[in-house]
Amino acid sequence: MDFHFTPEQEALRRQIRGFLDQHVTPAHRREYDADHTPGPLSKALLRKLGETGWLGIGWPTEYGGQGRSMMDQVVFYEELEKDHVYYGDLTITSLAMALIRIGSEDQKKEFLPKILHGELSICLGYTEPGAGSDLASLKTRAVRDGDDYVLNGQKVFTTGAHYSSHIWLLARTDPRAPKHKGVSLFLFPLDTPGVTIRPIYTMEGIRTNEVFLEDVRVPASCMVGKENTGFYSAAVALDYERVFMGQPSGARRALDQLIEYCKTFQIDGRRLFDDPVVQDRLVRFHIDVERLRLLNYRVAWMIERGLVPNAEASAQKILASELSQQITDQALQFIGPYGQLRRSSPHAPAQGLMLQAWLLSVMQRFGGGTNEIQRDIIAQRGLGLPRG
Amino acid sequence: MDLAFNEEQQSLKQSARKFLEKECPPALVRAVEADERGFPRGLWERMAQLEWLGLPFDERYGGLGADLVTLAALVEELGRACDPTPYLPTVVASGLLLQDAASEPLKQEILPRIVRGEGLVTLAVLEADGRYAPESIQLRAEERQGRFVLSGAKLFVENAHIVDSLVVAVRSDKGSDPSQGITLVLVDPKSKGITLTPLHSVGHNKLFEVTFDAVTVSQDRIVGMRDEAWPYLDKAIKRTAAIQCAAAVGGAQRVLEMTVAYAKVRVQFDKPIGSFQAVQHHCANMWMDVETAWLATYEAICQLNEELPADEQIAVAKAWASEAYTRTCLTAHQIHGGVGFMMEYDLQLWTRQAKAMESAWGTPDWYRRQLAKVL
Repeated sequence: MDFHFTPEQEALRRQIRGFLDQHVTPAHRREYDADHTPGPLSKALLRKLGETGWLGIGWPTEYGGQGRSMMDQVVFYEELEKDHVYYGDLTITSLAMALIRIGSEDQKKEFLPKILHGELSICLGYTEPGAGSDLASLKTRAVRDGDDYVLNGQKVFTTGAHYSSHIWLLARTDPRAPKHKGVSLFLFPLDTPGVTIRPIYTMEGIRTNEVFLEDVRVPASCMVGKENTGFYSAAVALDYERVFMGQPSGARRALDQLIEYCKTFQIDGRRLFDDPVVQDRLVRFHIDVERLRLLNYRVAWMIERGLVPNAEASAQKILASELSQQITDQALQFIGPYGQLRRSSPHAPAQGLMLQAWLLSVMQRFGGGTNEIQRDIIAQRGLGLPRG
Repeated sequence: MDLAFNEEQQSLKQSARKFLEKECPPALVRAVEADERGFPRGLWERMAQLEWLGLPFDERYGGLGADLVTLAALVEELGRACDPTPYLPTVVASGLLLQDAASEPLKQEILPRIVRGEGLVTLAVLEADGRYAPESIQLRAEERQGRFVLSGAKLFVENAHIVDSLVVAVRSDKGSDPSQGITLVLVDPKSKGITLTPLHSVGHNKLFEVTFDAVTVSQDRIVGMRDEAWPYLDKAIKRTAAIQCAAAVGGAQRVLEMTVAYAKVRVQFDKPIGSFQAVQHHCANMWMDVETAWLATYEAICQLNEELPADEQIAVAKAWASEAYTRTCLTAHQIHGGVGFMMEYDLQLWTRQAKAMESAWGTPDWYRRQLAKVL
């Protein structure tokens, strides 16, 4: 039994760290932290990352990837997340791998090289106003017409639609089939006629989108996988997302920042950190962050062994999101009245980032699969308890 | 990164589990608890035959020289069975301490007997304040005519009434640094001047207050160097805490399994209660607690095994696993309702043991305070 990375993995880590230390500046972080939208600096950084080949770190080599193991990927994402910069998120973590698994050769030729070079961003079009947790009840319709499909409907909370070039979208192709069996997956450009994108501004101050589809005509070659296998394809993409949903470095970063703050902020020559109550809270968070780190390793290790970490990945997502909320919530308390100040305000501590993270944490508990359903998954798929 | 037991360890776990299901059922745990002496001799002898008692000891003492991960794998199964034997205090706590610290003649005297199942030893460390800190060790050892005279009291000494030897931590010198001046001495509990008073724990372990009234001990019963015992004792306490975490994880996993099994068959409102979301979420939370307890425990044990600094990992493991075990039991009771609250039902055996184990070898708060120092 061994809880260490190999010397080769540590060497890879140093390489990645070296690259990031060289190329990531405070300006990059400021640009991305502002509204989680990749601006010119972030996009340039992504292309630079693209040059390293690391964006295809886990892809098979025949598609231009490095064919590295899941554990190697853990190392890569651990370092990336420490910097909290834009690195293409879903596009490189799961959609590319899903394309490799189920896409046509033409689709792979069209998309993979651009993704590898950091030139392409795809947003996810799953959720609808009437289909959140109950995704199977989605209504967006795709009707075959000659060599095309015509799409009508609406997606909501389509994060990234305003800066992505393409959308990875589920639409109903067979209304008579059982709900989850009549759905297909499409990948097409967002500038296709009939697509309208409208902003939604969230409590966090970040933009997400509504995407309206009105008689959007796309070639049948835009379908990913066979007709009516959309749910299966989404599941494949989810399989590759498991290691990255709730990646622990964010929680570690937040905690380290909080500890640093507690060690510097003084009242009457006494640091916040010297208060045993504060220490106890910080230590408990440290224990939770360590648990999350180990759980992440287990998820990756299971995938490497050909096991499917259903329950473990759900646990990771739950732990990461709840911990993030707990740490940021506590941090804002420790900071006192300064905690409420937004980035634009005079006297806002550390550009109001802790407040922003707290606001984001509200979404993290229900986004990406609500924690309630994640717990259902642990109970039902992990422990074999019966469905309600 | 390899987060699994190797083949040998898996094989040991499987055979241990089968053996304990048959030879250490809840009925035995109850019987041992009810019995005043409370020593399952038959089981202990069979464990000796299986070479479990010699598992972590060097081959020259008749042991198997197994590593700490292998030892933990076995202890995990013992915890799962709510094991009422002296395995942890005798083999893990005292035995390994003696192997680290004692002279070769003393080791040759004691360890092979433990391995053969013919000798029991236990550690006497805690005193009135119940802390595992060097300054808490105050039991006086005065030198008189070339012998030690011990005066004071030890508390929470497990199995003092049946062991051949107590390994007692005494204060042989008082200076400005409390970690200096601690000596370990082997004392026969039947010595003149020793009084054993049984304590009554919520768990099944037999604990004693041991008072020393001018008990004389010859110098050849000193373990290791006089006044220099603290580093060995500290290491033994932390190592035992880490290994005990494996027992906690084993016990918690068993409790979770019992609970899931119950939830599947208990019907209310025409449905198994395991189909209710609240019950499912309780089970999911228990599972997360226990799985991360396992991970933290074995990271600590691997660090110890590789002789790397492990204090931080042990603190994380003990603080988390102890509370996870207790919390799992309490949630299990929530799901079992009335039936789980009866003495007749087995769940309470684990719950009571979990609570007793929480403070053994250092409380969660103790370890959290240690962690604060390294943050």
